[in-house]
Amino acid sequence: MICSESLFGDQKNMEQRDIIELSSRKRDEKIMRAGRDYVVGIDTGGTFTDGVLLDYYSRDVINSCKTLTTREDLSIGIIKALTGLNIENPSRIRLVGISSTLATNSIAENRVMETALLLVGYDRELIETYHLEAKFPTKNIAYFAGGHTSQGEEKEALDIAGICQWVETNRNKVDALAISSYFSPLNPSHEEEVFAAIQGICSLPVVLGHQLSTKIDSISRATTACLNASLVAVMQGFIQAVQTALEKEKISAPLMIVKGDGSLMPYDVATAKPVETILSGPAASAIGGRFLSGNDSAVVVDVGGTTTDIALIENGQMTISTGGTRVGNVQTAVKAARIRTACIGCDSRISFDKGKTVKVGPDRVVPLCRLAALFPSVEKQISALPDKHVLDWLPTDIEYWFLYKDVDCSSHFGTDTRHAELFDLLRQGPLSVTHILKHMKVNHIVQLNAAALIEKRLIERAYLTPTDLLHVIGHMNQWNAKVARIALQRACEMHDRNPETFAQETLSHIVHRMAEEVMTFLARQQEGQNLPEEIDDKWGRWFINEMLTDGNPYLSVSTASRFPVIGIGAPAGYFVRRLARCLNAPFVLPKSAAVANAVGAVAGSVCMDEEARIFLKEIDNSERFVVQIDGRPPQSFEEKDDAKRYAQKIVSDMAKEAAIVAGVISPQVAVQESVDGSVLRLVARALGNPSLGPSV
Amino acid sequence: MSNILGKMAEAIIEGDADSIKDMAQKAVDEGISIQDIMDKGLLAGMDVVGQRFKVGDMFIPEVLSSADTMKNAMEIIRPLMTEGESTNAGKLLILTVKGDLHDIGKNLVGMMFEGAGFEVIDMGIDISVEDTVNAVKEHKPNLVALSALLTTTMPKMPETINALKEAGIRDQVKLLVGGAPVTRAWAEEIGADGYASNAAAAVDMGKELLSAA
Amino acid sequence: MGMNTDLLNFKPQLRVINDAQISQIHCATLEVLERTGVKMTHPRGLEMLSGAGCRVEGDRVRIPAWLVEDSIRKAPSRVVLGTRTGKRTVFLERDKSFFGPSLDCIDYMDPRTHVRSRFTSEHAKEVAALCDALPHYQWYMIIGMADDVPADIADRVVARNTMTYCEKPLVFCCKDTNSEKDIYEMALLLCGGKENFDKAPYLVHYSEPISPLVYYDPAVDKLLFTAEHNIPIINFPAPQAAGSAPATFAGLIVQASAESLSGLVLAQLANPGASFIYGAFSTIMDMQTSVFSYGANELSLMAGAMAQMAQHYELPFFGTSGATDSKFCDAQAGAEAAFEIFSAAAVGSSLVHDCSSWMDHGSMVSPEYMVLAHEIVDMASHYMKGIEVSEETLAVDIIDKVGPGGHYLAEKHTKNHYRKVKYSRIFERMIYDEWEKAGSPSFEDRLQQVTLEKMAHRPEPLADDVVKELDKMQATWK
Repeated sequence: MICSESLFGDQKNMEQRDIIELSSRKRDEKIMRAGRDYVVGIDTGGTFTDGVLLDYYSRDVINSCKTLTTREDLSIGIIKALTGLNIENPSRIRLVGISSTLATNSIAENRVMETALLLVGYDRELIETYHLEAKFPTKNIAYFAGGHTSQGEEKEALDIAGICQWVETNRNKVDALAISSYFSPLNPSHEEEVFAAIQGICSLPVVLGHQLSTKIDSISRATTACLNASLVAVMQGFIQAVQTALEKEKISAPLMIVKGDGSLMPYDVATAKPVETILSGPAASAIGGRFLSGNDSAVVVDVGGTTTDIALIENGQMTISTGGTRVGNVQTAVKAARIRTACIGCDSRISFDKGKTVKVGPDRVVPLCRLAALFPSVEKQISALPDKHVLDWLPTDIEYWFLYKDVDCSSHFGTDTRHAELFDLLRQGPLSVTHILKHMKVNHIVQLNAAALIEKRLIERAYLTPTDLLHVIGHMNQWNAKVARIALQRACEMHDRNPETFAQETLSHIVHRMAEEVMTFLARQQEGQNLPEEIDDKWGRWFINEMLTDGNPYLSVSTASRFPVIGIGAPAGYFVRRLARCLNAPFVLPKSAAVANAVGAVAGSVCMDEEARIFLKEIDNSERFVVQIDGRPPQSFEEKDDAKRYAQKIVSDMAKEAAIVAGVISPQVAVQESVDGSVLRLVARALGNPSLGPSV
Repeated sequence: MSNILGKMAEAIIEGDADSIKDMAQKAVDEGISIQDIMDKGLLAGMDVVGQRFKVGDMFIPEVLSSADTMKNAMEIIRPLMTEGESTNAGKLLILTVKGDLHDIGKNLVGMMFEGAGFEVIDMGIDISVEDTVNAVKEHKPNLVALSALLTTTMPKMPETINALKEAGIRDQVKLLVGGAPVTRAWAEEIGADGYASNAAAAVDMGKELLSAA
Repeated sequence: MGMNTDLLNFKPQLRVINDAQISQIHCATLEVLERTGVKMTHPRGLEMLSGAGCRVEGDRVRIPAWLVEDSIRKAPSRVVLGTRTGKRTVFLERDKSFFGPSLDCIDYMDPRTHVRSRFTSEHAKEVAALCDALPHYQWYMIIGMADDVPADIADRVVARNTMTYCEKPLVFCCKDTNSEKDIYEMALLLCGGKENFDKAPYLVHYSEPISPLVYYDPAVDKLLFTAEHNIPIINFPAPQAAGSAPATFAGLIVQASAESLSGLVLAQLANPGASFIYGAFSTIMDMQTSVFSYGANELSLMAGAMAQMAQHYELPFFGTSGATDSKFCDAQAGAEAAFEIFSAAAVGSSLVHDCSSWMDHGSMVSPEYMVLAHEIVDMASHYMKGIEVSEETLAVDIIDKVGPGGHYLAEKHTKNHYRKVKYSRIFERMIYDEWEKAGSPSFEDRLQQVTLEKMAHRPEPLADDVVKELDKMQATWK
């Protein structure tokens, strides 16, 4: 496997190898001064790895760096980002925070450990009747007797012998074990007994359901535990690599990892609960936006290449999604920030639909202007297009393909020689699809059978994107504006459109789409409304359209966001500014908006939750309120208030203690109560800023 | 054809449980589609019954006669229904929770649902949480209705909800709760899908929940 | 027996005095008539009484006990009233009760606006139509008040308007014999002649001796005219305990009974066998306000005792209930009406008046209150049906069929009998949620709505020639 750098390293023009680098390193570098607290934040996103060096208290970004994410080994990209920050005095770094897509990507790409799921007291018949096994992320499932009832009483005796026997037989076939027992949030004793019993038999990582989730849903607990177990080793490896990298850079500050809700956790907690890092990327962006702008309540709109992520910060806290988070096809019980992701970004493909409508996204491509900036051959080819006879023009003239990651085709595709041929062709450099089709002697793109290659990101495509349009209208001038202009001209002539108005209209269309997403997101925050994901009926659509475009000559409709809008991401200055205007909201563009995600990786608070569950249990014709707190023996009370008082005291102390251990100096503790069917939950949350490591 | 359907609707409204079976058989023999027999005959009649009850023109015993008539007709119709047709009303599992021996309200609700063309599985009274989950597994209803008449047995409702959540099938059913001490606010708090203050409202709510799903 | 039916159930009964007390009151009444007597100046009246054996000294007439008892025996024990179309609807016999509203008064509470104004002859039309629409009122009463027409002819205008808009039997009160004649003629016109009228009188005349123990001349005039024309007569004093009558309830009853019975004696002398309705408006004087109370509990208590006296005499009785001293249809109004109506029905008052409409101690008519009182009459009537006990109603077979743990909802027996339950539109039993969904209607909202709906009712209009004839009559009124 060749990583992208070597691919582009093969190109003749070495200076342009970092094709996707958005910004060159800052020239007006600030200097690290004595007596200040500096921290480093790193965000490993799907495409880029960003790093920032930050003055923690002044919130000044001293230096930032954007490099390509190295998917095969994230730590390589991280080391590059660290190096890129040019930290002159590593001993002055007091904290390092990392937000990582490691967990998300590992699940998506199925690069996880083989995990067995041991289900204790689950009703196999019921699971099969309702096809629930499809929800589990593994096929390795074993059922055992045991589990508890809805009152936390033992349902049947635990088949400890059966479990031990199974583990002995299968321990070499799997890499990790997840154990989940029925109603373990109300009584985790069976999970704990199994854990104790198999410690002596095998050394595999073992994850217990109730430790990952106390949700009353045996399926999602098992799923979450299973995912977590499959990620433990992966996360361990990653953190070790990061630690090695930090050592190499002579940074000895504490290491924190961002959770899906945007808060920070110590790296050892992350090792035990890697699944909690799911969706930490978008959360970090929002946290970064808040930190840089100083707005404690705001909508954060992060315009990325592929997607636009919308999050809400209220009183300094991210709003959390009430259901569990979904990763790919797997529904987990992980609490993550409530993020609305719209499949529209500055690298979204602009396609001409039938009629005069234009579609933006959901595919992400490389902007033609960026491709041309890297490959002079592309500029040459596109510049030659106007010479071609009008009748010979083809839509495929402006779609370019190029190799993103070279592989040995014979080992990858077996007998399909066409793929090898395509790879050979593209090794010459980017080519227009017209050219490819002609060379491969086929008439249509479909015949290339290349969908899988694109999906695996071996081949990348370049086409007209919003980035190109921003170059045409003069808002950006980072890459090859001339190529963008010619390509746009070409496309417009082919579809009988005026390029000037087309660019403006399309950009407006994008702003409106984003604004609609923000509007839907904000409207749906209101509880109890159960508004659908999309605006559905004709009137609803009309209202939204009029609010955004204000085009009706008879009636003006306007809306106003109650929150300011913070723009994050490189093109935020254009899109989010206009979006905010549509929503009549103040617009905030923080300094260093382009690297807010990396700032967010270190700017979050540390947050430790401890939960008590109180439920009614009938014991010998009388009723008792049982308090279940993990790591404590259950206590029962005659009076609900006594149970609550006890629970409140214990969880508050536990959360505070945990926060102090995690490095918070004086955590604030608040207890929240919620009803979950027959269970009353008391959650103590201890919150505070991480204590910065000692200045050396 | 419309003649016999009109007569069937009338029989439903009149609560003529004796002659409805013959009429249903006749309609089937005439080759009228099951869909039409249901929609233009039986359910059309029940709609009128529902409307009249709501405005106070009909009383519970009369509605029950109509429901009983409907049930008789369904004995002829149901075996002839295909999979798609039988789901147009729905399947209800109804019970009074553990520790509670109250029957009448639950029966009333059950009968009203039968009248609305639902397949009703009445588990009876004093039904444990575990048995409820097992019955859901066995019958796969799309509606589950829980009744409790005592404040002391009300906590069994959220416990049942939690048992369905734990089993991972909470979203497979719509859950209705009812009974004198039950309020809308409480139903919302414990996470039920619907609450109805009386049997007729329960049927409306049940239909609404299923049509929204 | 039901409140006003012949159902053979046990009718719930209320007794406020026992037989010994009845005898005592009777004797005391005879003693008052014999010892104190009444004051009268009417020459013909005096002549008739004197001739019959009374001791007449100047304007004082003392009536011997035998004459009183003889007159009681002469008067019919039952009186049947008919509608203006001749339908026999009100059977004043035994302990049956028939309730009727009073339609006119000094003031009027408009049910649309809730503004209080003077009562007019137009108001008379709409309240008459409302009375016609309410089935548990089988008759109605007017006293001849309307602010918009000359006082001289107001009694007849009100009579004409109400007779036009309500078909039910009418109890009327008028200023003099002249008026009475005009009203009687109108009644004959509507009934289709004297023969029809006599079959089931459509009119009952109401006349008042003045407490304590005084007959003024026009009253005697009217009494004689009424008796002679076979119009049933109510002789109805209005003694006020501690004012115009003794403060003790028994004393008031004795005086009131003497006042009413003295009229009976005169009526039977004028026309032996004349239909006579006994009674008195027996209330208290409120010593804080001097008010003549219409809502006093003592009113019901004393009226109950007098109803028992009437039953003892086997005379129809003019009862009082369903009035209030409250100014609005509030809880006081509801409670006073309910207490009075239930008491009157349970004791078996026969022709029960003032039930209705009258508020603020007899100074205001309110259609809404009329509807509320009507609802309470319906409740009382329902209650007075008692419990039917028979093989069918004991339902032993059905109890056995359903068995322990079953239910009766779907039984034919249930279907046959459940409708014996009363439902009300103004007393709601909605489930809270439904009530909220319906816009949380208050009692006042519902009462107003039902009242306005009922007021839209109109009876069969009178024939054109009848109307023309009435116009002609009206032109002659003085």
